[in-house]
Amino acid sequence: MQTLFVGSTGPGSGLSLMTWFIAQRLLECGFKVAFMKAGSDPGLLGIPGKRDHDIELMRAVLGAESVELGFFEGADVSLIMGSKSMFSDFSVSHLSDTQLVREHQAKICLMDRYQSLPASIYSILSIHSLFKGSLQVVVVNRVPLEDLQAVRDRLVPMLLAQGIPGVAVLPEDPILASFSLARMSELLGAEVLDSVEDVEGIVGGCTLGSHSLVGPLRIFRQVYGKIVLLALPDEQSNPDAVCSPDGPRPVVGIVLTGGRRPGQPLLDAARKAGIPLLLTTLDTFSAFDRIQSGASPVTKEDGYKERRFAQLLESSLTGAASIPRLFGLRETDTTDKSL
Amino acid sequence: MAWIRRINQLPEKEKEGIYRVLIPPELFPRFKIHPLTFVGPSGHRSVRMYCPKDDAVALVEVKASPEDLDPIYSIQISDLTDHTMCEWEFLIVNDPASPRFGIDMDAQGRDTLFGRASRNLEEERRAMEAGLLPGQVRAGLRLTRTVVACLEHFAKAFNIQSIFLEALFYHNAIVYEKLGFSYFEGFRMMKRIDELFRPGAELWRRLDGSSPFRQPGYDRSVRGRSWAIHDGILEGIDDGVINGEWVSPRMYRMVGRPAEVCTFPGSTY
Repeated sequence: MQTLFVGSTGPGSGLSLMTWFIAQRLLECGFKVAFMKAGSDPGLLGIPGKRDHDIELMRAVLGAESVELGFFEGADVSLIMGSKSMFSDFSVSHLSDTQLVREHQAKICLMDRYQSLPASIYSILSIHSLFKGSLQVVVVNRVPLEDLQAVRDRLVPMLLAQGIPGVAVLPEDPILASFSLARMSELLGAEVLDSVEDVEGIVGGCTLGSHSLVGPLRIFRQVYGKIVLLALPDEQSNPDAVCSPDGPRPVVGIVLTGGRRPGQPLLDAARKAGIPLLLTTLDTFSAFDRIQSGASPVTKEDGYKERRFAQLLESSLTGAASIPRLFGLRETDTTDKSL
Repeated sequence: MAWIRRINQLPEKEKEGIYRVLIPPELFPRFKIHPLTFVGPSGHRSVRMYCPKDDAVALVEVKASPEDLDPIYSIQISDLTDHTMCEWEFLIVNDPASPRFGIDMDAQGRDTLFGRASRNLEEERRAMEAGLLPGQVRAGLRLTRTVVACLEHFAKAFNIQSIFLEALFYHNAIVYEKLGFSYFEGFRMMKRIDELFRPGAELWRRLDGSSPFRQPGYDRSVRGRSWAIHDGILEGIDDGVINGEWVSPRMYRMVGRPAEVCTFPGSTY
């Protein structure tokens, strides 16, 4: 049985999405996959009713048995999701990333959240040096558009020259960074006001600006403490256009900040536009900071994110055509299975 | 790419350095705020800026202390589709030492949008008697002229050729006229309002003391007219120019070339 380890150089790297993507591809290729997570979210331990989002996700993707039994007999591949940072080498379950990789002779897929070119080079080469020959795939994620070409030109050849077969560089992407409205409400500790019956919808961006407040929403231009929640850009549009919209974008909700309860005209306007109003006691700056820094856990409902991630990854990945091949699975584990 | 979006992509310190020019310099000594570190007397940063790299909006807010309800100063500007223009979306100026009037909340604690969506009549009456204008929760700091100079300075640096705004209240439009703004929309309405406030005309006749905001003599001052209009004195007038309510005029100022427009000749404040 082959063991694949999905690790990360730090938080916000796309670890959950990558694990989901790999699991999905392995399933599609006919592999039986067992899953375990090295370090559950420490904040959830001992809280009745709270469950680790990643474990819930993989339970939904792979089936409960594959997740609960960990290394079950008959599995072709064991997929281990590492902690948020391989460098911290700490997990509440006392299974360090380093130990797991070494004991299971795992092949590694490393996720890196881009901060700067030197930081990415340092992080990736440190891990490459620590686990000689195990690093199979490196994904440098969330690269700002203005840095994208430089990273492709300088980092990718350097990593390929180090013998890492698969390297991908993914841009900062509004679809991957999006939130559901329900998650936004949770993040801000916000009350959903009685303007619409449900709060379905995906938030693809937010602004304090008023340009998207048109039609019945125009009255909200006069609200001082607000954050306008914008729809996802068109998935078909190119990433450059997505990141620099000049015109108005559809509004999917409005956060009213500072705990100022709206009067009837605002509630009526929101109802007419069919959007929810979220009321938070946080001030505008604190609410915005929380949105910017708040990681949204990936859930099975985020299928659009997994598809977008797959699209970006597959168009960027160097080397072999598929993830299983990059991990050498065809030769070692599934000689009777078609890839 | 328009300028504010472009500036927002700069490193934090550079952005702060640029948007600093939107803060009237006299605020720093007056409120003991360090002009470089922005640290105020409470030991916290008194200046906060919203200027994320993926947005075309900049908000600069000055508060004496982070937990204060009202900012001392807050200005928001944004790019327009026409990259030679910028929009001045908001200006709030409050003297924190002056008394506060709760005109922004109704009796149930709901937002009145500064009296434009609903009203707290008792608080508005008290505010008016204290010399405030519609929409003010506290006295201002008489900074608007300086703010326009700051905006002009900013615009000239980036070759932005005009500044666009909407005047929420009648008095705002008159003040902006005096500061060199002209009208995209609303000029005819402003002229008509002036005509109707002349002695013997319809709005003059309506200043009959029927409400605290419609007192005889209010036609002669910007403040009096503004309260009367805020009180709905335009209701029922439908002459093809005024449609029964106040509609915020859309105004612009050419940078370095102030207009000379006057819709209230001989006005006093």
